[in-house]
Parts: sequence; C-alpha cells; structure tokens
Amino acid sequence: MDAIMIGFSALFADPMNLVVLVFGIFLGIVFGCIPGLTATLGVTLMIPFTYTMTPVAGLTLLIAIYVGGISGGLITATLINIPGTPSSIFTCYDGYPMARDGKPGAALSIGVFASLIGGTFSALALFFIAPPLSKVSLIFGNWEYFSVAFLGLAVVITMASDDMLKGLIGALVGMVLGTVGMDSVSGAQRLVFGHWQLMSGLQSTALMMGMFAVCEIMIQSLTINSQKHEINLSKLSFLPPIKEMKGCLTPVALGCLFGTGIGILPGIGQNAATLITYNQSKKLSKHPERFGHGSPEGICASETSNNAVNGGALIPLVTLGIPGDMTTAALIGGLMIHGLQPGPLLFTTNVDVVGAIMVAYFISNIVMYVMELGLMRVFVRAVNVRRSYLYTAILLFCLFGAFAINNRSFDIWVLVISGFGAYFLTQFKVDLAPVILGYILGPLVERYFRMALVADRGDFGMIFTRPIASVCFVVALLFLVYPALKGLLRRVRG
Amino acid sequence: MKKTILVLLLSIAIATSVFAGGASDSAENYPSKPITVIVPFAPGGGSDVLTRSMMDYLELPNGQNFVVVNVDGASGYIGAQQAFNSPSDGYTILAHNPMDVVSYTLGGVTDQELYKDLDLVCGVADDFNFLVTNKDTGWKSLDDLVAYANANPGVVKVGNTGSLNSNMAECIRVLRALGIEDKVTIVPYNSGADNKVACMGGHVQLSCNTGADIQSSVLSGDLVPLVVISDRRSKALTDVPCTEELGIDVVTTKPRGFYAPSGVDPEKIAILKSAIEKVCANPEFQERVITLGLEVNYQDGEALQNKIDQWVVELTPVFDDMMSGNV
Repeated sequence: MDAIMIGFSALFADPMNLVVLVFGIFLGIVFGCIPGLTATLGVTLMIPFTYTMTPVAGLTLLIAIYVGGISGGLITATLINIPGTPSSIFTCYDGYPMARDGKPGAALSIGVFASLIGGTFSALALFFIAPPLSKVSLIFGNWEYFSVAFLGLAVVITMASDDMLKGLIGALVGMVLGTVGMDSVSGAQRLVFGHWQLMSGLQSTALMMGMFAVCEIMIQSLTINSQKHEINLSKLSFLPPIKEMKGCLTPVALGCLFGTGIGILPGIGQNAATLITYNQSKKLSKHPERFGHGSPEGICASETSNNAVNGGALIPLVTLGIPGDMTTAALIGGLMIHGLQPGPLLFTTNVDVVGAIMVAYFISNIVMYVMELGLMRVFVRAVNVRRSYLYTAILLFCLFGAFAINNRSFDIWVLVISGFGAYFLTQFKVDLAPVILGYILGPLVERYFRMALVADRGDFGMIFTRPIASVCFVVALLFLVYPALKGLLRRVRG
Repeated sequence: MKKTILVLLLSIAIATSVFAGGASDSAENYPSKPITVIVPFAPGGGSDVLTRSMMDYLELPNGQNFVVVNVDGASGYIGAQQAFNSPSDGYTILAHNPMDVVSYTLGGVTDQELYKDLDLVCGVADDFNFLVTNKDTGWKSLDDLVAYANANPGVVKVGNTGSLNSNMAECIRVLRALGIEDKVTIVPYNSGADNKVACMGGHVQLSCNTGADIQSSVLSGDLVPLVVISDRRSKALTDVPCTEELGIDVVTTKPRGFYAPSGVDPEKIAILKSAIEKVCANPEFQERVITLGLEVNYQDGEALQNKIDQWVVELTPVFDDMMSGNV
C-alpha cells in the first residue's frame, strides 16, 4: 500500500511524467488503430528514447503506449473489419457487424468501456494482491502450462462447430504454420527447407496482419465500387450504452479473470487470452448464436481480456522481476539501463519506481478511456475517405510495420504471402479464426508437453501428481468428448 | 504543379543516395556516417542494453556513433547471418556472444562456420554460467548436490537455457566432472528468464544460468549459487567459488563482443578497436556493466579468437554426444 502512495508522489513530482503519459497514450492509440503498426511495434520503437529519460518517465511512456495501443486496435476492427493490432482480431467478429447494422457509436463505446474495465480490474489486482498472485507464476510448471493451453484448444473446438471439417482444416493449417523454424526443445529444424531466414519461424505480427489486414482488403476490394461506406456516428456520450450491454456481465467478468490470470503466466500472451475468453463467453452466453453477428458480449469478451493482460503481466514484473510478455521484457531493459535490478529487491531498493509503474498503469487506463472517446469523431472521419485511398494507405502501413518490427525485409514476404494464402482459404469458406487458434495454441501445447515429458523422463502419468494440471486436463477431455457423447446418447434414445 | 513537386522529390532522393554512398570508402575519414550495429536479440534484452550503454561513452572520429538495429530470432542466429551477408565496408558490425556463434555450427543450425567466417573485433565484457539452486533444497555447496544426487538418482532436474548450445555443453561437462551426469535430467528452457522461473518455482532443483539472469534473485536470497563456471570469481558475486579453484577443468566463460563481416579494411577495424577499448577503460562504464550482471573485460579479437578455438576443441566431443542423443 505504501508503494502506491510513494508511486503517486513519484509520478506527480515531475509534471513531465504526466505529459509523457498523455503523449504515450496518444501515440499508442495511433499505433494501435492503424493496421500494421501494432502496440508492440510502438513500444519497440520507443524503447531507445526511454534510455535517456528518468526511469519513472521512461517506464511511464512505455506503459502508456502499451495501454493505448492494445485498446486502440478495436477502432479499425469495429469500423472497417481490419484489426489494428493482433489482439483485436476477435473484436472484428462482433464489432464490425454491429457497426454495419447502423450502430458504430455504440459498438465503439462498448469496446472502449470494456477496455477500461479490463485494464482497471487488472490494475486493482496489481495494487492490492500482487505478491500472492505472483506466486501463481512460480506454481506453474510445464505440466500446468501444457494443460491450460490444451484446455484452451479444447474449448475453442466450439468455434469450429458450424462446420467441423473446415474448422479442423483451418486449425491444422495454423498448427503447421506454428511449427516452422528451429524447435526450442530439441534444436531440430522444421519446415525450413534449408532456408536460413525461416529458422526463426514466421514472424507472428506479420503473419496475423497478412491474414487479417491484407486478406480483408483483398476481399473488400472486390466490391469497392458497389458499396456505400459512409459511417455516421450518432450521439456519443461518455457513459457506456448500458441498454445495449444486456448480458455482458459474464463476458466482462471472464475477461477480467482470464486476462489477468493469463497475463501473470509468462509465455502465453495476449492473443491466447482473447481467444480463450471469447470462446468461453460464447459457451456460457444465453445467446451464443449472436456471437459473430454483432453481439455486444463478443466485443466485451475480447476487449476486456486483452486489456486485463497488461496489468496481469506487470504483476510478476514488479514482484519477481519476471517478464509476463514481450512488452514487460522491454520494461526490464528500461530498468536495467538505469542501473536498477528488476527483481524482488526492487520493492525495498527502489519502491518509488515500482510504485510509479503501478500508478502509471492505473492512470493510463483512465486517460485512454477519455482520449479514445474524445477522438472518436476524428477516427470516423479518417476511415470515411475514399476506400481506394484508405486501403492503399493501410497496405503501406502494413508493409512498413512488417519490416520495422524486426528490421527484416523477409517479414514483408511473410505478410504478403500469408495475405494471399488467407484469401485462398476464405474462398474455400475456411474461417480464419481456427487458423489463428492453431497457430497460437498449437506450439504452446506442443512445447510444454514435450518439455514436461523430457523433465519426467517420458512418464505421462506424472501429470496426475499435479492438481491444477490434472483438473484442467480432465476438463479439457470432457469438452472434447461431450459432443460425441451427446450424439451417441441421442442415437441410443432415438 | 504536381509534376514539378514529383521531379523535385525524386532529385532530392537521388542526390541523398549519391552523397550517402559516395564518401564512405577510405579509412582516412572513417567513419563518415553512423555505424550500424546488429543486435541479434529483442530490444530491452541484455545484449541490447549493453550495446546502448556503450554508446553513451563511445567517441568515434568525426563525431559519429553506433546505431543499434535489433534483428531477433533463432537464438541470435538470424542477426548473425544477416551481419555475415552485409557488405564489408565497416558500416555494419554485429554485437554477439562468441559462444553462441560457435553453437550455431557445432549444434548443426548451419553448415557454415560463422565463428570463423566473421572477424572477431574484440571482446567487451564477460558473462558467466552459474549453477544455482532453489533456497528450499538447502544445498550450500556442490558437495551437498553431489551427495543428494548420488543418494537419489533420477530425482534432480537441471534447467538449462536453450538446447544444443554451449550452455548445455558446459553444464554437461561440469556434471560429468562431478560424476553425476547419469543421475540427473537436463530440461531445456526457452530463455534465461524461463529457466530462472523454473528454478525459483522448484520445478527444477538446479539451474545452469547466466549471471545477468540470476543476479537479482541471488541477491534477494531466492536462489543460492553453488559455483561459477570460470577461471576466476565473478566481480558481481564474489562469494561464489569458481570451477578452477574447485579443481574442475571447465573454465569456459561467456564473453560478449563485436564481430565484423570478413574483409573489412584493417585500419577501420583498428579505429573501432581503439574507440571501444577506451570505453572499456572508463570506470563509470564498468560500474554500469556490473549492475547488468556482467563484468568489463576488453580482449583483443585475435587473442580472444585463439581462446575460443581452444574451447571449441574441448566442446566438440560434448556436442557430438548431444547430437547423437547420448546425454
């Protein structure tokens, strides 16, 4: 608790910190809402600049960009069906249909409000129960990671329920894409065909922006002259449209819990969190059939969870010095460059910095909410330009972003080819969501499964000595077997 | 009107590219533009921070400096290969750990011998591999570990950073020297951070990890270091005995240094060397590097390369064992 008070005074001691925070949020929203320029890229590009700032200002800037960026992705996802940042992929599925049905203002407000709730929930978790929660990241070993990822994979089978065969085809394509490169457990090279550039696998941002931005632009270009695109915002208020948000309590609650929980676990990540929350919410919803057709619940699930991950990832960072994701790894660099040792001792040696990180995160969420609603009309005007201009600009940004994320021109090819590949798949009516699911969860399941087996000398039975792991594993099996059992029962009765 | 602007822009673009390319070839006015340093890891990582800290003190002729370009992927291999493919005009160099570069060849990532095909400019700092244990095991020294492993064969798990690399080879060599290689299981983790977390959480009892990764957890008492693999004690953790003083003949440190593509004008290399050596002699820089968990140790490229060639001879049989699955 002391840390928070000290953090407040450290952050407010220098007005520059607040300027940096507001600037960071703005920059983050810009990066987040332009497809191709992602939140991760925003943070990556700004890291070198933070090295010359004070620790508090530098870390504040990075956190602000991240919060703004992750939330900003929902804007283009909602307005033109292209996710601004990969973690908003699932916002497209409901935000865009809702906007197309004449409710763009409501769809955006719901998304922004859900972001605020998710972010604030995880900020409170960070404030009040960070030390006990951080133990979770230590309790999780390979078996736990394996079973949680496996559970995610089993839950999202529901996603493929409309057309099981094509869903499975999609998921398998995703898994194959995820295996490319050097295998981290054995060091073996997989699907690289002797080409050194493929050794690091397919860059995930380039791949996802190709699949969702390039491909979507190709699809929309087919009808570019026959559609009317004008988007009109109706009245906007600073309060969320409560009337529209019936039944949203469950997805918001799930998003807060899953997002924060997955954020705490290093190595699972934002995209997996939205994926799992979205599908779990669909399963528990009273109107699962509305998911994918403009359900406010879907927007809430996606946007609450991806923002809750941010705060979750800060928990092991401030308490143990362990990065929860790529951005918190960058924060560790920001600490080290100033001669601060990230780790448990930071609470005693530099409590002002730790406190400032937590407070900056909390305030960032509120500033993000206000700024995004305030800028809403600007965004709408920006996407109301002629589509031929808009799409050209977005493609350029995608090309730039794919290169800049890792300074490799090879990633531009990944972007372009995955765009064409995804277009090919959609022409066969293969949904892209299962592809993403296979790509993200497949490698997680595989890696942790194999590491667990290596550690226990090939004895799978060891999973049942670990309570969390065995519960998740059994639940996952039930999810998988349940539809088949139901069909069998029906046939027996009939 | 539009056309005029276009022509104007084009001519500016052509002019800048001509001027940028024109003046860079002789060693006399080297460097006449910033030197690109490929850091083959993500921004914010240990290598990135080390290189950027160095830039604060670096004084190159003509007021030039380094520009860091991060190219992450395949444990640093992608960036190393990109540096190898770069023109040898002295304006692209690579900040890397020679023992990682050695691992790419010995571990079969590439058939090329990058550690020979690239020219080692100099070593800048040393990192060390430590064997650390969780405080809950109660082990205070290697003897405790050996006694436990012998009494409970198959129980002890050893975390390692990466697979088929020099970290793993060194870890195996130490375990061999202690006579407990067959009694423990080595678990490869994705990164130094994952490896540390596994040890802190008690998922592995022992972990072979670098000083940069474990330093903060050792200072807080969560991890207990048993030995540092080196011919001397580390300056950051002076209480930890080194392998040399314990009579274990494995003293491979993990130097960090700079490589250049082969064929760069030796005079240019000499300018780089003297500028870097000067930074390494700066006590303020040395202080900063210690907080990163490393220690400054400037070594001339040729001398360091000889040392590394010797280490390669020692490591090759261990790699052969790893590749054929004998460990």
